Amino acid sequence: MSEPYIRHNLAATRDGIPDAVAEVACWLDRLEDALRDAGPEVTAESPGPQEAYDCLALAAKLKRVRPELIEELEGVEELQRAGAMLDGNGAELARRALGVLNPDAWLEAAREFDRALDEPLDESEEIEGAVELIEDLDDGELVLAAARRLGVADADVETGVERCVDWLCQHADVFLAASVYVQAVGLALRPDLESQDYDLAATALKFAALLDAAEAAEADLTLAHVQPLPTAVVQGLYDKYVEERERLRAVFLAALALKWLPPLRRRVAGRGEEAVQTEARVWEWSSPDGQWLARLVVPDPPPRGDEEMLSLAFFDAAHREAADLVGRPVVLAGVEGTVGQRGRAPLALGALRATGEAPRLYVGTDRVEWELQMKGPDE
Amino acid sequence: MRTAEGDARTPLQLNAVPHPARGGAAVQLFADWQTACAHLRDHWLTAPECQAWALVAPAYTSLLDPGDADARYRYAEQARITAGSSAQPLYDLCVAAVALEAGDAARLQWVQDDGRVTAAMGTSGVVLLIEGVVRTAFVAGQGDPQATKDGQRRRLERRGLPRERPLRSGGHGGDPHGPQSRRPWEDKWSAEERLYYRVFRPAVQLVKRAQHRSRDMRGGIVRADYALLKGLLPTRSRLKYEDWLELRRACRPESPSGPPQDPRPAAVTDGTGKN
Repeated sequence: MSEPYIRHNLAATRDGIPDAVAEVACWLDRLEDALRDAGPEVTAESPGPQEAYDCLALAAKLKRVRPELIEELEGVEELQRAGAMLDGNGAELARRALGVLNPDAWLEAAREFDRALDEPLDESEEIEGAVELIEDLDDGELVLAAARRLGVADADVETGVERCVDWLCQHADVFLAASVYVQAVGLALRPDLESQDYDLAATALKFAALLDAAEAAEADLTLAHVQPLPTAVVQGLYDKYVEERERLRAVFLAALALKWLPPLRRRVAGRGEEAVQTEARVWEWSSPDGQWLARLVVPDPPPRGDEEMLSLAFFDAAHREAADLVGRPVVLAGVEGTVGQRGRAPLALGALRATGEAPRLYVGTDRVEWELQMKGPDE
Repeated sequence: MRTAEGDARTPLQLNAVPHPARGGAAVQLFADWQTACAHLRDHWLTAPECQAWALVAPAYTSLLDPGDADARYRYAEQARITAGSSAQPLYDLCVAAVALEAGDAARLQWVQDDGRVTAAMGTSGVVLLIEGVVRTAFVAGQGDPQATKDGQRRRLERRGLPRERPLRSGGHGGDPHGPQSRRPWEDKWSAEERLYYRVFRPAVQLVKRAQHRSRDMRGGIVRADYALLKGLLPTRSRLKYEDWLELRRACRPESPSGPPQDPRPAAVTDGTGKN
């Protein structure tokens, strides 16, 4: 048998969170209260319109429910009592109940709720608001269906409620916050409702619309509706990305080649001259496996100008001198050197400047390129 | 000695109630006198919840008439002016009632702690939420606990949140037999029946309804307060009036009808929020 009101692909349903038994228990409690408040017998005064409304709405609501749930909750007696009350008095109760229906008020409240969602809203308030509106409209539709069955009708009210239902179905996404409640109602509805009671099945259509909206929203969240691109397209995009990345890298390195060393024009402070504050440019590279680090500190300005000897220092991940790399050839900006004692490779500043190359570092006989670390000013 | 109007120099004296989840420990009822006064105003002195409190703690009616809105307003105003001092008798009544509820919750294990908040419910249907101190203790199901405050209700309505069921607000919406009004046959009810049907049952329903109203679209928990209690309460067929009466009498053998008329605070504090 198909299950038109259950969507197993919804996350909450899949995780077993909506509890049909709990929801139906609430309806049975409400019916029990309504029957009690309606009083022991129907008189001119009693039950009042609100109690009559509750009795009609809840009796009809529970007729939509899977019978096994009613039995499990020992609710058969309440339904029988409601049936007995409606026998003979149903039309009178329906007339009283119809008097309280106010579709315009519902529509206005729903529109206001929709507008309220434009601003950040407390999540629990949103859930509560959405559930209240859905449940309110459901009760109203059920009262109308029950009244029709009892031969009582009000064309204006019917048209008004239809307008409310249309609005809800067209704006089902407004009520997404109530999704778990809607799923619980769906789980409670008998799957053969349409063949059992067409009028009541019509009142359940809005839940199908709400479930559709929930499915669409969850699909959007999980990108489930996005079709994977063909492999050839993905490969083409990837190649284009790599090509673009390399082009940008070349532009970047070309610009860096001009700027990575301190400019020659800056003078070194000498005796009797105004002292110049020495700063430093620090460049770091890491090996492809992340095990090793190389650091070059370039004084700015260099005390001996282009005669300054720089030391490219190698460390392991724990910042210990990289003794294992001693003897390895290195090439920095086109200048060759060798890692010596204490993991340091001496390089002349003048030689580095003379090549005009970017600070690309290659280490080892197989000339593996290490990655230049780009750091922010505070790092 | 405290006058009927209270002594403005001595703020409300805060007291403690038993912690329902920590046997033997006490927990202060509200953080400070300001919170206590606000709570009394919003729950004990605001309709319709005040009517429910009068059933939970019958001595309420010896302090003021819950049906007299002007008297309730004056009481709340006086409490504010006197730093809560004038409201000490009502606060003490609240302590006594909440203490009994906490005791019920401990005995029946109607208490749940999620690490942040402890939620508990007693046999009158009073829900306690504890976060260091008792943050709130309200009669659940007597209108939305947040919307109980008129100011908050106005704020919520301004923001477009429906708090009343609009579809059933027409024609005879001003039903003389509204949910809080008394039907003729209720005169035959005992105090216990009134407490069960008018206070306890709505509270249980609110807690159980919270099951699907505390989850986001994908089922994640949004609000973990009184919804925590849902799984602890017996099923509806095990909570009929007779079942409740049995539980009630097991919890309160000395006083089956409710809290004592002469409430005694569990402990006295200096009113600064420290025990």
